[in-house]
Amino acid sequence: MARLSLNAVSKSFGDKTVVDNLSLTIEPGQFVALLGPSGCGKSTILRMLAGFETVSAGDIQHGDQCLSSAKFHLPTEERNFGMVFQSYALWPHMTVMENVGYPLKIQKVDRQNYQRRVQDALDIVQLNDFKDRLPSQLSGGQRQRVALARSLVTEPDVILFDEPLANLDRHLRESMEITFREFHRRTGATMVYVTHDQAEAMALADQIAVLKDGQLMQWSTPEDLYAQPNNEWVANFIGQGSILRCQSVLGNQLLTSADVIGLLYDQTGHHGRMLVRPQHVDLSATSNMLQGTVRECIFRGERYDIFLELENGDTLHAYHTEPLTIGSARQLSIQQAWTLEPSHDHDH
Amino acid sequence: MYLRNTDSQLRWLSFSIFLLIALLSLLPSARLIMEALKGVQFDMQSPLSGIMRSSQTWTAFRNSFYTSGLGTLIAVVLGAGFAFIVTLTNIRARAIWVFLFMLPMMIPPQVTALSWLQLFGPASPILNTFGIAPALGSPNPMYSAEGIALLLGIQNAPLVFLALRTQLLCLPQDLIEAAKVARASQEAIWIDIILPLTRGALIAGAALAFVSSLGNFGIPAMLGIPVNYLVLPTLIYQKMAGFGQGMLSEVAGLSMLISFLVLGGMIMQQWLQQRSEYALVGHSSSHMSFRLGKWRLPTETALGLILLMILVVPCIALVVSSFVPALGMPLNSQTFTVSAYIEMLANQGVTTRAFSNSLLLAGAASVVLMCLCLPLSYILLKLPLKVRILVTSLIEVPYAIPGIVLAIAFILLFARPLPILGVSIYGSMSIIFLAYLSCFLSVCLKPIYSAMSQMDKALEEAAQLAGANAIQRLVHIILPLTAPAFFAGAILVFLISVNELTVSALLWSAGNETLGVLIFNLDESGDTVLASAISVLVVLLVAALMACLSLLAPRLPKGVIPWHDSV
Repeated sequence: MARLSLNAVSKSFGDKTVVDNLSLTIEPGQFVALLGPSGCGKSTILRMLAGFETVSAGDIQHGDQCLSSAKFHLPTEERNFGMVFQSYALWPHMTVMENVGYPLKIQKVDRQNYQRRVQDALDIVQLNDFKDRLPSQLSGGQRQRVALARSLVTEPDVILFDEPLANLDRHLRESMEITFREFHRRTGATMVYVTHDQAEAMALADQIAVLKDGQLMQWSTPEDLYAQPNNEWVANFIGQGSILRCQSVLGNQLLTSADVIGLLYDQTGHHGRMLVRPQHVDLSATSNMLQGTVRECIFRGERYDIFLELENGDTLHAYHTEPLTIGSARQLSIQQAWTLEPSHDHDH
Repeated sequence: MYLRNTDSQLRWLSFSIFLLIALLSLLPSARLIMEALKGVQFDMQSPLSGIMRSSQTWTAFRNSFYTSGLGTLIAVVLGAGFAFIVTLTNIRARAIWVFLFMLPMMIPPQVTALSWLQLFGPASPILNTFGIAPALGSPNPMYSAEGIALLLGIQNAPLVFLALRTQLLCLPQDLIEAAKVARASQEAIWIDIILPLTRGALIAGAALAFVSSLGNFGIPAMLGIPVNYLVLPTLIYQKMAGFGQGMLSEVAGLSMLISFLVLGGMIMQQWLQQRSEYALVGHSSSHMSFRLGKWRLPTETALGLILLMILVVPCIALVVSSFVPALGMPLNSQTFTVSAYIEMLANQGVTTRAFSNSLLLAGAASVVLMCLCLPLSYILLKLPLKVRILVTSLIEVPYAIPGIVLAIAFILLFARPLPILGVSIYGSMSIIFLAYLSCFLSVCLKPIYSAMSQMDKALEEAAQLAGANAIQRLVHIILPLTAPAFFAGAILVFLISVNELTVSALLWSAGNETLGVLIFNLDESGDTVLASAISVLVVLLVAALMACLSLLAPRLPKGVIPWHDSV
């Protein structure tokens, strides 16, 4: 097991820069998610790790071995990485067993070992009963598990995932997320997982890299990403919440209920930004009160989503256990908030 | 630097492939232009200016234009009519109509010509059988400019049909529905919606038919040469057979003339098509169909009658004339004989030789091209788009230029012994073989290339991650997944080359006859019954190969087999 590191990696296609000066260090055994909207460069990073794309500048190291740099490129077939594709990429003319065993066949593993290792890989994904079927005879989730088994059969140090759940329905996604977590625990391999779905990234990864336009926005644990986003863009992208205008304030601080009132009531400026998560809005509070008007009330099963208009015109998102009349005025308090560095784009 | 990501195996593979393409595609055309230009001096004695001043040239030029123009008109009327009816109405048994209408394109032109010759004229076995043959000595109406044009029209109607049908099939149904909601009548829908939207395809089809008519050799050779009605390809053929002084430069000049005509046709098509191109947006999932109502049966009968006239009756004439002892006799229980078949198989050494030559040539060409197209398509798909388009159009060149021109180019290339090796392949079967490779490379490449480009790239990338090198990926993953397309490509090449006449008519030599040449020669020397017997076998072979391809069709990318679609 070795550390995987990207050092100041850039990638351009023609004059378009897709990945811009990216540095990441992935520790052995970590489950890392590359998260961002489409076009942020996350898939390109994965393809550079796999060796399908060269790097334009910087280098990628695996332990003390250089995988890619502007001058050197280790071909994919010599990297011994595993990968799970969005389209599964199962070879339709081979049975499940042949699909999983193909990497071993290429490595010329002897017959006995071959049998045993394919069995083991299929056991991990619980597909031993299906080993003589063709991919076309399997369901979407089963195909994904065959792809998983194939990616781990050579016991690679690193397994790459390219939006593997994008083609599955919601129910199946949840059960595959559990499969992936078990899979990570059992193999202990380093995993790099590309997704545009923040819930998926949060559920799976130890460490998340949030990307936008080829640049790294934030590199932290899911908990930190949620509670302490680096800037307004990340705050908007991750989780639910409202960003309120307030008096200018230093970024990246946790505010108490009293701080929030002070910042919101001081009308001397509105260049500051604070993030309020809906669970931190108390609609039955008795102190530190703010005024809001209910504008929308949506039933979500276990709760109601309430959108209130504050006195300064900003919208605040809150949860409530009962429906509220639209247009009614409501007293509320904000228990805590996170201040943000203002980012200069407002195109979200 | 495009192949920077790939390994050294691929690098030498692509280098040798491109060298081969250059040799097969570029060299012949380049050599032809050189030879033709050699005559361009300000000297009235040069062969090229001689050709240009000869009245014979301009008569043939006019004849070519007349027969091709009239033929194109016939092809457009037939092809467009069939395409509209078969594609847009609720006619029954669509697949069979399409298959039958495509058949004339696949039947070699010399066989078509022979069967029509058997149909009319004083010696017609069918007319004689019914006792309605014209008096002996009266001319066969097929031996005329109009006869040539009619057969060119029938032969090329499938080209118009195909171009139009492809376009009609992707005409979104909701465009018609929108017009219906706007209360347009059926006639208004035809005139205001369907015709304008398919004009581009109609023009493309017509241009294809015109270009193909210009290059056709078999029909004007069988119908024109006996009455000394020459078009450009037959003029070249006669000049080649005549062996005059400066003959090579003369035929090179004539070939250039045809090439210019073809080029002009293609440029005009591009220009017209650009003016009538519309991007079609909408759902094309459900396929349009007009209800014919009580007109369905009459329409089907009319189509059936036309097919009967252009396909079935000539074929019957061909079959009938292969079973009579001599031309001019009626077929009945006394005259029926299979002696032509027996003679063909047992006595005529040249027949079996021609069969084995043609089978060998076609078999070898299809196998070699199939093997060549695997790495070729693989490498093409790794190239940047612009280079890819350039290379594929280079490969198209030998197929687009008329066969007679290609044959001349090959003669010019190989008339002298090969440099370094010192052996001459002129007058051997190898020269025909090489010409076939050059001519049919694009025929074989198309299905394979389209199958490969439709394959999910991740399938190969997954193998790459598994550690497989380029050759292993080709053999283990790509080949098995695109195998049906390989067979389709090979069968198509085989189908076209086994009957080919135009190229081999100029390149054959004693002992190296092909089937096409054999039928042509037998007919020229008056052995029409024997020629008919061979033609019957050829038609059967063609139909059988087409049926084979139809069986493969469900496993092929859409559009690979012209006479088959899932609709």
